[in-house]
Amino acid sequence: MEDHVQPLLSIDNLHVDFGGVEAVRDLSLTLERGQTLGVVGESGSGKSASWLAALGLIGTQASCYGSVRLHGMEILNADKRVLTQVRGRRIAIVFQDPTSALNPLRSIGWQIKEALRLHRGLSGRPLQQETERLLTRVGIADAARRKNALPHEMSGGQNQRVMIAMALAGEPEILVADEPTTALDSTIQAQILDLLRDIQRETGMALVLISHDLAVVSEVCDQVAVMYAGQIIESAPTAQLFAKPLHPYTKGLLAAQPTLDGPARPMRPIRGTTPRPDEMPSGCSFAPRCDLMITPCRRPQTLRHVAPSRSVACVRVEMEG
Amino acid sequence: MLRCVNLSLSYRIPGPFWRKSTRVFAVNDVSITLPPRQTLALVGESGSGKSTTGRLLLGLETPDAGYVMLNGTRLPKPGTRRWQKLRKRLQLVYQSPLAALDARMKISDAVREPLAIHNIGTPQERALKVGAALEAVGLTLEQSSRYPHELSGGQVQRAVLARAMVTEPEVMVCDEPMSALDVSVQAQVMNTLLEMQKRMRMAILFISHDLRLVRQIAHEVAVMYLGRIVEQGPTELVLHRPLHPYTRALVSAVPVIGARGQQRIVLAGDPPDPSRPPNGCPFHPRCSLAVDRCRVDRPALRTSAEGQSVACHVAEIGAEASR
Ligand SMILES: Nc1ncnc2c1ncn2[C@@H]1O[C@H](COP(=O)(O)OP(=O)(O)OP(=O)(O)O)[C@@H](O)[C@H]1O
Ligand SMILES: Nc1ncnc2c1ncn2[C@@H]1O[C@H](COP(=O)(O)OP(=O)(O)OP(=O)(O)O)[C@@H](O)[C@H]1O
Ligand code: SF4
Ligand SMILES: [Mg+2]
Ligand SMILES: [Mg+2]
Repeated sequence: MEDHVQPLLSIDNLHVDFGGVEAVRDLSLTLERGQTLGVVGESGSGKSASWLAALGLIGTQASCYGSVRLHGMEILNADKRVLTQVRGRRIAIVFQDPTSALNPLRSIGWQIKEALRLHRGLSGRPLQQETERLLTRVGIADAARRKNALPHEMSGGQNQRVMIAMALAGEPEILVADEPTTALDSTIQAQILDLLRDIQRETGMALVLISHDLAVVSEVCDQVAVMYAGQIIESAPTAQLFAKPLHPYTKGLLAAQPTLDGPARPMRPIRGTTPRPDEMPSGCSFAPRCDLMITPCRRPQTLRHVAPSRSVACVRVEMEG
Repeated sequence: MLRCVNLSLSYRIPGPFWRKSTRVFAVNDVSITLPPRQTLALVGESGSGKSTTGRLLLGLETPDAGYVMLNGTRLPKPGTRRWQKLRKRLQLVYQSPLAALDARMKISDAVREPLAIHNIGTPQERALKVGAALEAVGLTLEQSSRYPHELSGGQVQRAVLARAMVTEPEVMVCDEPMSALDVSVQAQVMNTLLEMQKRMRMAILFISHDLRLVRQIAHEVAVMYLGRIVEQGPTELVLHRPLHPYTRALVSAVPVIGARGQQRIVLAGDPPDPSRPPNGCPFHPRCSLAVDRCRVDRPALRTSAEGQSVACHVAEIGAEASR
């Protein structure tokens, strides 16, 4: 394949299996330079696991199959030497629950410096300056002094921003941000999202934004993948997804979303619960909770194209145009 | 009823050896009342002292000044026997769920632990309570037989909620309790909390950045900026007719589905430095309405006839409440 048609990252038929429990099933997607991909969906649907697996960060209990290629180079289950070159420098990750992802015994400044030393080879004065610059950029006041703080001496949102600064330290080609703004108030959240957008414009960094905040996703992403029970069940350009969701799960999710304006009404959960892994339906995984269920739904559903850049895993969705 | 009066707490932060250590003024002169069956939401800037206020309120930290009263008596010192006895009535849902759980303890054991510590119920009753709490947050038995690191972010968060709910406390401080949940699960957990609140007459301090969730659960909202409450009042008023310039910026920056590039108020200047709080109004360096007085006089909270309080020299509050 010629280089210019190769996507920045392509994931093909990824499976992640925790001792018989399939957390991620047959996940495929591509990511282009400068693109912002939103990943939304159920809690426990495999959003974090799929990206941790792609980066070899998921630990030994999991078996991962399929393929993850960065510029065409296979990195899934690659050996440590390859992965240490990829992680941080080419693909960086902002972990969910930052306070527990940071080293509790080291100052936040030390942790950022470590990333800068490792990925950019900085030392001495430039190292100090860059550390403080990064902390200032993510909105930590008095960086010169606060860099000496330990994670437990920072607020939840401050640690979240430290994680973001650490991830940006390596000037990555891809930033995977797992719930990066949940501990931030709306004004700082907007500031951080602007910062990420600026960096994307400057460097062409691709951003994978895993989030439960559908409004944030609707504001910053180009394309959105919706996950349910280990699978992508819908993928669409952002504006289309929010204007006209196709999959019944996506519709239910959007309908459950509370608003700030308009009449206050109680939040309505989607009826029923997630299928247990040992009771996973053989057909559509959403069928037991779906109001549109018909007999063909008992057959396995896979993503199929319904329009340009748009696919959905549901028999009830008609082909568009 | 839980009440705190004029609470303040600062932390010492060491500087490099040639400089003196400084103090971070995390919470300044905060007074809050939490009546039974009520939910007060605490919102505001990241780092403004919300979690610290929550910990102070439960007696998990000792204030430099001010005090906490539970049903008319002073909260005993942490660690004492009297405090231990009270603990089961006051529960905290930690902001960082993974850090709140023992990594070597299975989820079901972690949820059962508070019942054992406080000697609540027979083993059978405990099992029933644990089962009910897990179901209420949507965790399966199989998931609860795993260790914390074997669950997703939202599943751990739900485990921490179940652990706080299982003792059926009188007061619950929930610090970002739903930030890792999808909206459908949020709805489920929200309904459970509301139902429990009604049944148990529980008071809730709901710390959250998600103003849409706040609107669902809170009777009142208090807004913090740089360690102080700058606005407080009935939820619909604070969210739809904010008076303080900071609250206005906060509300305007809430993202809305399908409103890409909406008009939001961008705050000028850098985020505030809690080790060097400005003179006068803590918000003045970033405020577009600031007048000379704001740079020297700190505004006190003024309350409108409708019960909305604001600490700002300029904000129009209409008729003031008569006192
Ligand atoms: N080590 C493990 N052993 C067994 N199961 C696991 C392990 N880690 C994760 N899982 C399961 O895999 C599934 C996917 O987890 P993942 O963390 O990817 O969810 P998620 O989509 O990120 O959810 P959330 O939004 O709650 O963070 C979950 O059901 C989880 O319980
Ligand atoms: N143990 C500590 N030592 C020193 N400073 C601390 C300590 N704990 C908190 N702080 C500081 O006190 C201030 C208030 O922190 P707090 O955690 O209460 O903020 P918060 O409002 O909960 O913020 P967030 O929304 O980001 O969670 C912050 O500036 C924080 O850095
Ligand atoms: S008191 Fe002055 S500086 Fe403070 S918020 Fe009001 S107008 Fe702005
Ligand atoms: Mg996750
Ligand atoms: Mg906090």
